[in-house]
Amino acid sequence: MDDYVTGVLTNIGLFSFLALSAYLLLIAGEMSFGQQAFFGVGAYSGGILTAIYGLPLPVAALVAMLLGSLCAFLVGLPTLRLRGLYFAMATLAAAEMARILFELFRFQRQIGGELVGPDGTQGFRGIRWVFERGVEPAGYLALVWGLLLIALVVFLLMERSRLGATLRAIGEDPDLARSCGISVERFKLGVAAAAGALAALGGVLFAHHNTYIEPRNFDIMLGVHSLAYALIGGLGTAFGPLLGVMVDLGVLEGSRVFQGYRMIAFGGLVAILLIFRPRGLLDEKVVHWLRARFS
Amino acid sequence: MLELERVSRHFGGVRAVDGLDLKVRDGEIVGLIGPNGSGKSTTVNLVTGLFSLTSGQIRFRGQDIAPLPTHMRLQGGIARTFQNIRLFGQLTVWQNLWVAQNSPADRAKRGFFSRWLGGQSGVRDEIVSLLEFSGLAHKQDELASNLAFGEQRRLELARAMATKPKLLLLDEPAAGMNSEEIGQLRERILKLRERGLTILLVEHVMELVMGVTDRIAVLNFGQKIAEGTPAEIQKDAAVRKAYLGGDAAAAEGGS
Amino acid sequence: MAKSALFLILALASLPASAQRAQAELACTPSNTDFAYHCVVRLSRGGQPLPGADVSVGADMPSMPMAHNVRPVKAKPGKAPGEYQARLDLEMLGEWAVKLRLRGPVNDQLILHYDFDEKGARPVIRSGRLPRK
Repeated sequence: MDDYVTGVLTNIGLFSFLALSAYLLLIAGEMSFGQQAFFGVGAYSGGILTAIYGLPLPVAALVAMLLGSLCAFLVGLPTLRLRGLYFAMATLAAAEMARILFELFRFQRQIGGELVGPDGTQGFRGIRWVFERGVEPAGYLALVWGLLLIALVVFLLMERSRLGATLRAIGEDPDLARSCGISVERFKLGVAAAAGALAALGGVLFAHHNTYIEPRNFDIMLGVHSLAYALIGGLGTAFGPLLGVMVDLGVLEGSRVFQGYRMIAFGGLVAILLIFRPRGLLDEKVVHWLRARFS
Repeated sequence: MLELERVSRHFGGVRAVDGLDLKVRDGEIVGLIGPNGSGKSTTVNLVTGLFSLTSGQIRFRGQDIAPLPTHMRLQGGIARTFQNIRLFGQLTVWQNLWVAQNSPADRAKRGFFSRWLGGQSGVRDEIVSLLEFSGLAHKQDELASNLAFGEQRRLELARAMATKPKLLLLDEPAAGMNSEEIGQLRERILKLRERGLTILLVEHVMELVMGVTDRIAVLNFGQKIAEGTPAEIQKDAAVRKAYLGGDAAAAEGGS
Repeated sequence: MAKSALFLILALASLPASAQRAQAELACTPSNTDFAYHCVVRLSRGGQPLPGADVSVGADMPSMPMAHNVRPVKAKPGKAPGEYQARLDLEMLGEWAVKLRLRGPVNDQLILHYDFDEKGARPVIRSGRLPRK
């Protein structure tokens, strides 16, 4: 495997965390345009912890996930009171505020003769933990996909549980869920916090893969894509978001036919797909049919 | 069991429910009838908390429930069905009943993790018996959205029962049913009463209301215009006027 | 020659001087193909040219680093020690984060921001930077 293939596969993995994060909110009935903010929180906090404080990556990742989860919870407190489009707009606004805060954020220290740390719009260079330990791209790819696999297994178990059924119930008809004695608000806050942790984990891994992050990395495009991936792949199973990422990064990358026009092709693809399959390729009906057939 | 005292709900200038007094005693089946738009469904939504009160008081088992959010009222023992069938269409029949098991008894039975993340053991028997009660055992793995109309009505009732209610609010459960299905529904309602349930039945279909209720309250323009036994109501002049004079079609048993 | 010399743009990476870390400069001239550039990378460490490294050159768009990227290419040793040559095939003009993956004497990754236009590439100097104490 050359660096290119490894790079593409790693990117698919990194995007998948964000797509899963958007997916988790979508099955609970909320469309967030702001998951990129928690991705950014994870990237910045994880990067600071390894590059400035010299903590090992696993510890940094755990702390970053907690922080991402806390931020998502705090953002969720006011925004989850809103419904539908208003929630989407509020999350977008919150994420843009976060991006501007990253632009204002300066926290540099002398490490090994150079200044390391976030430097506003100049970005944050030198997140070298992975390189200093001689981890090869293939090794990092295995780490990303290993963690993704764990996340997927957790998702699949969760979806078979009563918790999973309850989240889908809330997503489909919150008033009916209330009428079944389900505390909708509490569940949605929990979901937001979990989705924040997931996005933050993706962010930590992204920062250490790229060694460099800057506020622009976490702009609205990233959030729109993560949503689109979940919606394309389908809301019937956690494999859906992965499929969505692969359709875009895998197929389009593999063919390279669209090159610079890829975003236009991607936009068209999303539009066509959502007209014919509003809940994605692997929607609930397809998943139910597959389950009945193969179990 | 349930007491409504001068309950009102206004939507702008429209008085959907206006100063309603209603009492439902333990073990009773009370019918709530009235022409379309007379405030019956609004009353159900007020009791379950989907709408908030404009004024008045609602007491359930002696406790003022107005400040409680919907899910707390349901956990407290009030369950309902909806006029236009509402089910979790992307969940299976089994899952529809599973997610409704939120009564205090169910919550006490298992620990937090086993309750949310554990399997179906421990709840299986109850769901099986609910499925049998509603004649849906053979459809348990079907998506609720794939059920036939009558089956969906039955599943709605079973879902309401899965919350282990003390008071059941049925909002037009017979709408769209043929007379054979209405007969079966009547049997089910009477069986539920034998189990000790108190029922508030909102209905247009007189065949059902007159057959199962102990008492009937009649609403018109959000106000109670009559209350009494089925026989008394049938003779009541005000009721006849409201139905035949106001909206004759509704009295003919339409939906 | 004069033309390429004119379009040859050199710049330091914004990394401060460091004894251990490798540093890179980039100079690119446009090729006959649209959006493709001939680039020369100059690697140094502690002020000395750094030859013998295995260098691959890729690029990302800053606002979509995971989706808008170009296939990394291996650089060939150039004319002088510490120089490496590569052809960079971009998707469009504008700002790119050029990603240098180094192996051999150093194992590192350097990211340089350059603005690519018809004439070549120049380092991005972002405005709005506040004076530091």
